Amino acid sequence: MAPVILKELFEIDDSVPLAGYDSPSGKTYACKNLGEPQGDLMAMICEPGIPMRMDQITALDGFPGTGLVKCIDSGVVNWASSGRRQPVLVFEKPAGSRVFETMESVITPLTDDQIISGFLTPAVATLREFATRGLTHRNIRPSNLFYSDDSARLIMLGECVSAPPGYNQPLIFESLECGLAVEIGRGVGTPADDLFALGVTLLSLLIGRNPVSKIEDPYSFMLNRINTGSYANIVGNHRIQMNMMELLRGLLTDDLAERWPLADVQLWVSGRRLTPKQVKLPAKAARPIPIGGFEHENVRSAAHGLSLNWPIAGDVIRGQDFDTWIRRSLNDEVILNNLNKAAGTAQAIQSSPRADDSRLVAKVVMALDPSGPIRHKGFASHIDGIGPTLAVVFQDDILRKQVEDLITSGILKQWLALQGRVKTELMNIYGTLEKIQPMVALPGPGFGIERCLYELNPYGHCISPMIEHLYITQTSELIPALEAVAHDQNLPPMPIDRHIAAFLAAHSEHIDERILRPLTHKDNRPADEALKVMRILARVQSVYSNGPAPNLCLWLKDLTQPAVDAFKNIRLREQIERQVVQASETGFIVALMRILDDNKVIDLDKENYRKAQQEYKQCSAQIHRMDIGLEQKENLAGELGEQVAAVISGVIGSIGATVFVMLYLV
Amino acid sequence: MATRSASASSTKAIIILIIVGLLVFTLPTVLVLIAGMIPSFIAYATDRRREKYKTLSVGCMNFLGLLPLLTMLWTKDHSFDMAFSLFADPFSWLMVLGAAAAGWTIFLIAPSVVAMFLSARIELSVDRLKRRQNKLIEEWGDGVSGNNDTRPNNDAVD
Repeated sequence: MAPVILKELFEIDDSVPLAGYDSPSGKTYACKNLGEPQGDLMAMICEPGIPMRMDQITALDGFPGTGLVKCIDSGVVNWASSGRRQPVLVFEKPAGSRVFETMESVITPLTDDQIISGFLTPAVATLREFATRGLTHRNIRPSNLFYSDDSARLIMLGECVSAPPGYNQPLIFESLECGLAVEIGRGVGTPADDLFALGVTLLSLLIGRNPVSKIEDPYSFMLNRINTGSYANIVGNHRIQMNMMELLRGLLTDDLAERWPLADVQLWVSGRRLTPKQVKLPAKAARPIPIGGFEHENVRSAAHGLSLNWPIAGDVIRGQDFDTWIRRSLNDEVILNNLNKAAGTAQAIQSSPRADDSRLVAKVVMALDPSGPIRHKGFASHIDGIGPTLAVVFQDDILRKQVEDLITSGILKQWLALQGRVKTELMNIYGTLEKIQPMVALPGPGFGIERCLYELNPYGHCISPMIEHLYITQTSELIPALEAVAHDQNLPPMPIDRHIAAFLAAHSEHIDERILRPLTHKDNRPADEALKVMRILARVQSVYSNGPAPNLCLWLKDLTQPAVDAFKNIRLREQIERQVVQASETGFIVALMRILDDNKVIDLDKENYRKAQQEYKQCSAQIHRMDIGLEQKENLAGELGEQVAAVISGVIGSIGATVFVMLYLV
Repeated sequence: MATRSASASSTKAIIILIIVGLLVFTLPTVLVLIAGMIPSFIAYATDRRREKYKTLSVGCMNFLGLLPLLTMLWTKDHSFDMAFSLFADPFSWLMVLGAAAAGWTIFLIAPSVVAMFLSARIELSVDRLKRRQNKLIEEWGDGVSGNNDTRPNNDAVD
């Protein structure tokens, strides 16, 4: 097979797979730079259905040091083995191999010295750089660590851009805040989430294997972590040296205020040693509250129980027992304030209609655990995880509906009210969600849940069945993609569907609602839909100067044939047919549009046709009248003939008399 | 009012006196006219139209045939003898009746000729209108005639 060229800069050899560097969301192949040598490179052909962290790639540009597998470039290539276009990421290839081949691998436990100098020192430096840039790695786990040298002394963190944050992380590597969300909706998180993952990874290196190899029941596992702490549930009975215990307790504590910041880890790495403190457990209520057959002793546990038992949670919340538990057993002013902010007073909660149960449950859960994910109707995601979730689950009707319900529920305002300081990125996402909420219910192309998908995934590709295989991420690529589609024998009914319309609306400032709205309404003009589509595509082609698209024009020409046929004047129609053929051969849609969308000509043709019909009718009426006249000609000719006879006789008589008189006189 | 009516009556009386006077002094001419214009009187008697086209047709030609006899009467001898002698000549009758017959002939033939002319003119107009209609169909298709246009019209696009 011929090598695949990316951007005329990189040559990817698809015959040389580098299985040791694969990630769960992509396969790796040998790659070389066609320009300046940049050391060993590898290209990861990513799963098209999993959104990449494109903003992270840009933000990591110029990342210093060797503590991270760095992404050099990205793009899209034609991948022969899958028969489609796929996204590709070019990475610097680590000099050494993977530390853990898989999460099930067992290795020789690393010594303290190996861990401190070989793993923690570079990892802390790398995470400090991440924190400086306002980023998080969110993909730290043993199977994503590589030796950065041949001698297997230094360990580097693996890539963090091929999948949404935390998506490939096993549950034990996620903090409680992120682990309670669905895998795809875990969100970017904070440096504290990276430090938690660093702690579990550290534990894995210390014991040489995954500390919790199998989780039978994720619900019970998370409930146990909430109630007895992540440290106890992850470290369990593994024998850890005392000095490491201090670090692990600092990193694996669930209380964010207690979790060690990067500076403390740095101090520990530098040699500071303190007496290990006991991991702080969440405050217990005076008595537990039963939800779904399980006794919950703290707020986070209760929130978890309510969110997973949401069909019955409304009744639980409205019950007097829940109010008593919150006010007396829990006795937490902050939680009470949160409840007031999110769901209102006890009276408001108890008088809330049953139809509003899902929103009520979501608000109460939010109030009980404001740092946790937003949980609604059994779906749980952080606000920045909604977009990636929608991208991954879009083809799943049930999950898509869950995301749609969350967006339209209107509970995001309460989420914002309960947050303290919110990152700018999250505020931007909140703003987008607020903007798109009214659009979800709109039925026309360019709106609906598809619009949400593309608004929330600005780097996402268009998943229209027509062009999904071409993996286009920018509106400027749309016309060439449709031109490629138009080259096929089996053409879809229209060159624009709901996905393409939404993709254009979300990603192009040149396609606004004025252009898209007409697609919602249908009228009786022939080929009206095709003409509306043509107007949009003409605009896209002219704005992005994509060059000619003759196949697409031919496709549009066929679709707009009824519009040509609608011209009544045969000569004009033939002339327009010739012009349309000529215009379609040029490949510029705007040329086609100028011919078929000229309302003056259309109106004139209609007016002339109306006049012609009238004239035809008048002719028919005249013919009819004359036919009647022909039938009655004897009657008409009788009187007229007698008149004529009288005149002729008179004339002959007059002339004769005159002639006679003159002859006689002469 | 009474004065005006009396004046009109006196005018009528004067005119009648003048005509009667003229008839008395031109009796040979009146005789020739009465005898010669018999075909016209017959035409008048059989003419049912208010406009009296038949009377005009026959009368004009009849008078033309009678005119040479009157001329002879006036120029040779304006007497009863002359009037009788004129009528004794069969050629005079041939001329008078022939002319009246010509008037009858014109009256009888003219409607047929006019009918032919009218139908020719109508047929020409119908042809012209039909040509125009065909041209409209050529220019606009069958739809212009009110018949359904048979051209395919695939306007149902999803």
